[in-house]
Amino acid sequence: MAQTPKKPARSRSGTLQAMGRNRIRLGLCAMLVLLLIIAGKLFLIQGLDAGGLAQAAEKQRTVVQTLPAVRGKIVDSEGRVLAESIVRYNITVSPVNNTDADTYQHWNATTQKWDEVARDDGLRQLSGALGLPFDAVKKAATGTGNFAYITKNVSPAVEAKVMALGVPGIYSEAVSRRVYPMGAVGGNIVGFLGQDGTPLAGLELTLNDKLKGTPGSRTFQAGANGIIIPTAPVETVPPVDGQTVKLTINQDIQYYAQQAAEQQKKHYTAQWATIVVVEAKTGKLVALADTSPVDPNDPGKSAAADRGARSVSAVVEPGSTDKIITASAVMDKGLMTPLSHVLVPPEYTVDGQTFTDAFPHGTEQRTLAGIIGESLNTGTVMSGQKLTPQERYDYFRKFGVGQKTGIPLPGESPGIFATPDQWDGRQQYTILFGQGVAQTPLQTAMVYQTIANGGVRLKPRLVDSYTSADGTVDTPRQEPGIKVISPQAAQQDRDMLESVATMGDAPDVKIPGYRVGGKTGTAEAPAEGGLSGYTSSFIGMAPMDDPRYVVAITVQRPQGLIYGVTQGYTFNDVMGQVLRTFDVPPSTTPPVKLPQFYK
Amino acid sequence: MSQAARRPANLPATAVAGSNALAPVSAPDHFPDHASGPAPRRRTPLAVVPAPARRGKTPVVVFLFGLLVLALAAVLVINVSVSQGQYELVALKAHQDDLAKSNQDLEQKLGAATAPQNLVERAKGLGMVPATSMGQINADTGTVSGNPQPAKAGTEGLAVIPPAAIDTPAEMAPSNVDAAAAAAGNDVSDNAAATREAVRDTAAKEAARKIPARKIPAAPAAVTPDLHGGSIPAPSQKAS
Repeated sequence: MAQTPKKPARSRSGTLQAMGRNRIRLGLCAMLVLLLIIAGKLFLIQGLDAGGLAQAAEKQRTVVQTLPAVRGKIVDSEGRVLAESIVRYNITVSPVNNTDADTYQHWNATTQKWDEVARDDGLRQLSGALGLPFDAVKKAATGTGNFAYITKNVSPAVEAKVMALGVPGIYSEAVSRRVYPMGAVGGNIVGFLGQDGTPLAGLELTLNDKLKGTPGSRTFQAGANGIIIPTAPVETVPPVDGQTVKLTINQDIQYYAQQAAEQQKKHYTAQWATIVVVEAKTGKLVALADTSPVDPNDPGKSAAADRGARSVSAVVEPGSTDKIITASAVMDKGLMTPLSHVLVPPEYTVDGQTFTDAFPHGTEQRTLAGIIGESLNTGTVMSGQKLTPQERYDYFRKFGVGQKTGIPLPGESPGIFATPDQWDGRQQYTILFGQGVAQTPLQTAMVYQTIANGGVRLKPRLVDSYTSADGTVDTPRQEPGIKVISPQAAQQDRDMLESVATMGDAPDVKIPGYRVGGKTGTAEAPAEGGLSGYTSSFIGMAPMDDPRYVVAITVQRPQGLIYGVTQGYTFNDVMGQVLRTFDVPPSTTPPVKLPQFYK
Repeated sequence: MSQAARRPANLPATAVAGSNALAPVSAPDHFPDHASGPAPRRRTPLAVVPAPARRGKTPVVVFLFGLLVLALAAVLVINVSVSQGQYELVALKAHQDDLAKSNQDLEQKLGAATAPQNLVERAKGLGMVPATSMGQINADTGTVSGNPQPAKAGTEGLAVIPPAAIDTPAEMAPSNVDAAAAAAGNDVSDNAAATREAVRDTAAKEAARKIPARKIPAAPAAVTPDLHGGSIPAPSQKAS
């Protein structure tokens, strides 16, 4: 009895023990399998695909932000800003949020209390801060939409005022905006950007590579909630701001020249007028003035034709101003001197082509200076026919006719100048007095720069230097000029030009204290289906003892009797202003007065 | 041993190296019998060894605990100061932005004030007139050249060029710039287009008042019939 229960008990405990062992083994096995799976997975993750997953994870966390570069400034020769990029704000509204809030709480800083503000009152304050009519603001802020603009391009000060009002649903967004503090002064040179920041005209377009800079980036890691992980590395590539472009343009002279051009245009009801001011010894352009100038802050107000620089894009017949090229050529060749004798008939016929002058005259005993002084076509043809057509062509080319000057402005025209083999019977003579050839006002100005600079033609310069964001200044070197005529011939040219003012047909050209010289020009203006109207011009230089500046005035299609049209006074005004501004010492030598007739 | 070695010779040696207990002086006269025999192994005489001063364990624990607390506190302080620095940095950056903005504003005001259009306007407001003649003074000879005359009141200046249109455009009318940009082949962003659409109504009146809307003549409808390569139009076919 005592044993019987013992046996099964013993066997039961044995079974139990066996069961326990089995369970333990089973558990162990399960755990081992689990561990194996985990280890396998770990091996898979860490061992086989470690890079890929880590990369994917990192990619998920990594945020790359673009840091925009600030567009470079454009400044005048004195560093006065013509174009710069500034921060502006667009005031936006979520109409649904604003419309829903009939009243809202606004913290009053003076009473230290929350004020209850009615929606209309809030919007009225907003319209006051923005300077917009209340109705317009309310209309924009009413609706069920989620986004609308109240206004664009407000200054940071106005934005701060607007945001301080705390009107519900009113937000602001910062935008970079290009502004042109001088507006229309130099606007045609500087150019402008489109709404989306694309350069559309002027130097903004041609110097875009220098101005735009290189945007930078910031790479950081952020969690799903957008919070930056502080311990993760932050990689910042700083943006490189655009270069500051310093022009050779002097804003004061530019303004004055634009005024003067506008005045001439108005006075003669002309189509347009341009004034070019060049520094003779460096080729630097001091002013490039156009009428109806474009205000780059609002280019849409100007007609498309008025948005460029006519002094480089307009192609006009220069007329008598080109007679100096013919005179230069015959003197440089040693064929004539300013005092060479020419017996000028009332009309002159050569190769069946008859030429007359702008005013009737009998047979006159003229010097070459006298031919230039009274701008005689007949005498010019008689002098110039001593040159072969090829020689005529070569001299014109050397003076830059028919070639682009290379100025960095869009739409520059090379002018129209055919090769001698294409000249017809009349053209081979008319080009001698500037007809049958078309030039830009700048090209013609550079002809006179050549004469003022002792016969060496320089490349006109508009950009003085580039300043990088790090402060290094890059001043492009002045290219060596092209020797067109001998210094002696240039001096003879200058004497003849001065005699135009002292003895010839431009007695109204005078600036007290300075010796000046120049040449009038009148040509017929080509139009669709022939010629219509005239191009009237005057190009002069001062002081004649050592010319420093050249001023070229071109007026297209002035109305009224063409012989009454004079650019002399405008030249006096502009050149006087230039000489005063740059403190040019007055002339100390007596003026040259070459005899116009011989006896 | 080295300590013992460094001791001056006249000082008695210590019982044990490092102990201050003096070794008992050997007294050969106490054991006269063995003096003549071979040197017997002598037992080191017993002496009281003073127990080293017991240090309590408490200061060490306190010290370690203190160190721990200190380290934690240091970490905390550094953390706090770093985040404080971050806040300060953010505040300073905001301040810098504000200053840059106000600087920009001031520069712009300066630019506007120095713009020749505005200068001329202000000079006119002060009653100034342009000078019509000029002369030169030669400081060396004391002579005056030219023909300077005092300016006369009422002298008119040259044609006026309007000042820059900056910060005046508040109207959200479809601006002509867009038209210009579009004409130049640039897509006006959808956003801007949508905006214009949205606010056109509100600002149309205003725009009409401010800028006389530019009349863009509609392109003449194409009247040239399809000549299919011929020079005269084909007779029209009867509709079946």
